[in-house]
Amino acid sequence: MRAHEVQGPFVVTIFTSSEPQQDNPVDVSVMVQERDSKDAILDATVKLMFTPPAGSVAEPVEQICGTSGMPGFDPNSERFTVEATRRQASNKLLYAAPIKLDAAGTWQLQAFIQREGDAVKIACSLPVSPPPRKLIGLFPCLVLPPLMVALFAVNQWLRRQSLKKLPSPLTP
Amino acid sequence: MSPTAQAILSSWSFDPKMTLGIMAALAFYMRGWLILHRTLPARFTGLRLSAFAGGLAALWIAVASPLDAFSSLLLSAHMVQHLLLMSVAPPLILLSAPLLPLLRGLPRKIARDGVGPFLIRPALRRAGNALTNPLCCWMVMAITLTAWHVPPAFDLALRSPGWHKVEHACFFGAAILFWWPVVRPFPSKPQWPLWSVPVYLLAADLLNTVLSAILTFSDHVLFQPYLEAPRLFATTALKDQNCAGVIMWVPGSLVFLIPAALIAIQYLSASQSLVRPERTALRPVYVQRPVAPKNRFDLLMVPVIGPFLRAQSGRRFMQAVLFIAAIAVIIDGLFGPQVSSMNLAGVLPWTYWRAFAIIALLAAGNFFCMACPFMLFRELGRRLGLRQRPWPQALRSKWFAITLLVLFFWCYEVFGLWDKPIWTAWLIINYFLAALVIDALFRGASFCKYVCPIGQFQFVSSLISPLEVKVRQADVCISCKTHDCLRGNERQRGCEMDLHLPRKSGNLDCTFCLDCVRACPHENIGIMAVAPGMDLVRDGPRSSIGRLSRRLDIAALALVFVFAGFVNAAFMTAPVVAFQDDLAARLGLDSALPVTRVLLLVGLVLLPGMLALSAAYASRVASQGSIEARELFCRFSLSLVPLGVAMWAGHFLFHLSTGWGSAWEAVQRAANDAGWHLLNSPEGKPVLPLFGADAMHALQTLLLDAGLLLALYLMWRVSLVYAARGKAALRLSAPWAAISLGLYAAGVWILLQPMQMRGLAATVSQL
Repeated sequence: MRAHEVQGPFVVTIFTSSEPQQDNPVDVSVMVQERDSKDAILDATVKLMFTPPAGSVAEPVEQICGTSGMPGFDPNSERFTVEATRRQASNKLLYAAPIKLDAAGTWQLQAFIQREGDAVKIACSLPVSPPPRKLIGLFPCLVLPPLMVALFAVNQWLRRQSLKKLPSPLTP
Repeated sequence: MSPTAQAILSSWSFDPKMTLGIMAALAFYMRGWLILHRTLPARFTGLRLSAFAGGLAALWIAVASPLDAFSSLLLSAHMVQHLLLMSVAPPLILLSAPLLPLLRGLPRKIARDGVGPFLIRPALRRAGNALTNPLCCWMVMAITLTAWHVPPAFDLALRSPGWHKVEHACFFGAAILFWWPVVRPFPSKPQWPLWSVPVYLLAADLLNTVLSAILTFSDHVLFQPYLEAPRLFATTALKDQNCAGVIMWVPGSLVFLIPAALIAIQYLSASQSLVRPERTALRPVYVQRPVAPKNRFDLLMVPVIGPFLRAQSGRRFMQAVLFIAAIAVIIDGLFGPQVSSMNLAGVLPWTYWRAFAIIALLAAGNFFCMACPFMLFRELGRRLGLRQRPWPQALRSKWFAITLLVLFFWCYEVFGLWDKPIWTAWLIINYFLAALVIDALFRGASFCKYVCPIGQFQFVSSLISPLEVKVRQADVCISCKTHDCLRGNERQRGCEMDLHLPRKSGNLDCTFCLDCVRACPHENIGIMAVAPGMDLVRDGPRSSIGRLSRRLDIAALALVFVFAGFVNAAFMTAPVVAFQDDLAARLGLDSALPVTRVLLLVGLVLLPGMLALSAAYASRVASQGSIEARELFCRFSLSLVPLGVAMWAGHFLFHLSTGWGSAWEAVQRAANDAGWHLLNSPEGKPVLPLFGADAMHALQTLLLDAGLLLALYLMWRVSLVYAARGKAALRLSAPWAAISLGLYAAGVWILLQPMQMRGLAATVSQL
């Protein structure tokens, strides 16, 4: 959980993946609740504005397959905005936007929540660590052939062992 | 229903890996259950099948239902999830006696030769017995349950999705072990007497009671993340924790107490009728139903699909569809905008057709040749009534087709065919004309067999397809005198490729036209399941092909096919493009094109030829000169085919993924240009890739993994044909294994390089 604030008529909570990494999918989810009843609000508009770490320039980041539209990217500004929707969330009480961030460092995240004339803004920081090397990401796939070859070698050895134990047909 | 309830009930998450794994397990179990149910209907009843399906369903509900989505917000939801994972799914799965059905569900060869040698090892049996010892099982469960309920461990699982999966895997694995001595799944033998089972269960319930009492009566929240989480349904974190404790206590205890009571009653009852010793039940109950000698899948026996494929009209329909697509590609290529990603000639052949053709080859067989649109022009050529001659003797090999294939790959890169719709259109027009002229002048399917480069690509790829057109029962062919499958009869012509089905082996030169199927008066030909690639191990005489060990041209075709897969993908990558530019600058050339031309020839012809020849001579040395280098060249070159198919598949799937959706945009644009305003105008939105970059990399690497492993296995099997001893076989195949590893490493390197996004990026930049 990145932020939990009571503002205006809302209780807003921002969740993200536990350790966001550069160039890897980050799931940013927002829960909006009624201040008094704590009922989840399902008809709000939630926009997320990302500000890159100081010294890096925001590029039009890749939004993950299945998301609606591309991020709103303003080439004259360092920031960009995406809309979080319930359709993209696995928990349909939340508003989510899966996104890839292309720079390591501390990003600033602002969530704008609007509903029937009420609007609030919540801010939090989002530390993004450098990406793992691509080869390391593929490690489970790359380790498969040597593992299978090793298993096959054991299999062949076991088969030969069991063949050796069989009595020769010429043995009385 | 309130919107909140609707939102909760729709919070399902679909994890493709988990879902596919569960479906695969169910498929294997069902296959094995069907086989066992025929011979042991009393042992493998419908209830067993239902129990397995129910267990898997419980597992899937635990990880995919709203319970999972809410597990980080509500401990009570999390507890229900854990109950399903530990107390519902495992006993149901064990009640299904899954060992034998899963083993029988595997392909026979894998079960017998792959898994069998491990299962019969006494050491493995001893390890299995030790692991399923009730004391060990109880301890594993107790430690797992207690350790994961310690707050730091539970908090870790809540904060990290990876650790959450580990936690679930631990719970499920420990629960399978825990329930093992209780359920005693067939054919395991009980290690402790029956009276000990209720004691075992009560002891587990005692531990469960202690843990759940702590949760129920605690006056503070034990797990920090729930304290921080937003509260739902006007409940507090403490109330939620107490509720979770009650769930763990009451339903959790009942799961232990009910079986304990049932088993105790069973033990104490005088008849002990429920406690049937396993030995009695082991006696098989045979039924009179005959069992087919070969339980092999035959696509032509599948309802709807089988009759459709058998019917001549079915093939004509597929050809007509592809013919119409080809005509649309030609018209749009000639007259449409010369922007490949907006033109049907840029999108349909290079993004879609290639990918779907290779998917069909990997999943089934050579279905492109079956639906080939050029076939209609070939038929037209035959009906022109010209005097047909036999194909020239000097050209009755694959060398001419190999030259055309190399020329095609060369032109594709040098002239950038994928990016020039008008050239693509002319290429298809020339293809139609060549099919027309050659089949008008020459007998048989000379165009398919000796000319068509696409056909050669399909033939080589289909060597590792899982389906093959072959006879159903060999003894029927022995008594056949007419050989209609080859010669034809008055209602149906025979095989144009001169393949006599009883002596046909593998998919080489088979166009899946199914003329033989229609001609056979005994209905003895099917599209049967085969072990992919295993045909390459055999070197018997093949109808119309002869021995593979004597066919240098086929080996050369395979090498071109394999290396072209890597060359074609490598020329898309930025480092290779930069290398060409750099080399051209060093040589003082104005353009990199001459370098490209030379490098392509090196990559397509020289490099594969030199490497394969070197490997053949190295293998000959290893065999102490007892085997001809030519034979080794021919046999081992073919075993590289799986790697080539894997590389082509990874490459084409990449284009399909990045260009996914571009066809619809191109169809809309072409329809609007033609004045058909029935379709909406293209929206001009960038096309999003079907798979993310990481998923695509993983998929491509897995394809290469599969290709490498199959290639290595084929090399090993071919080596065993020549060398009886394992060490000699290793020496014989080592040079070829080195080439495979080199190609695999090159493939992984190519996949990790920045690629030219022919689908997506081109579209984005043009918009």
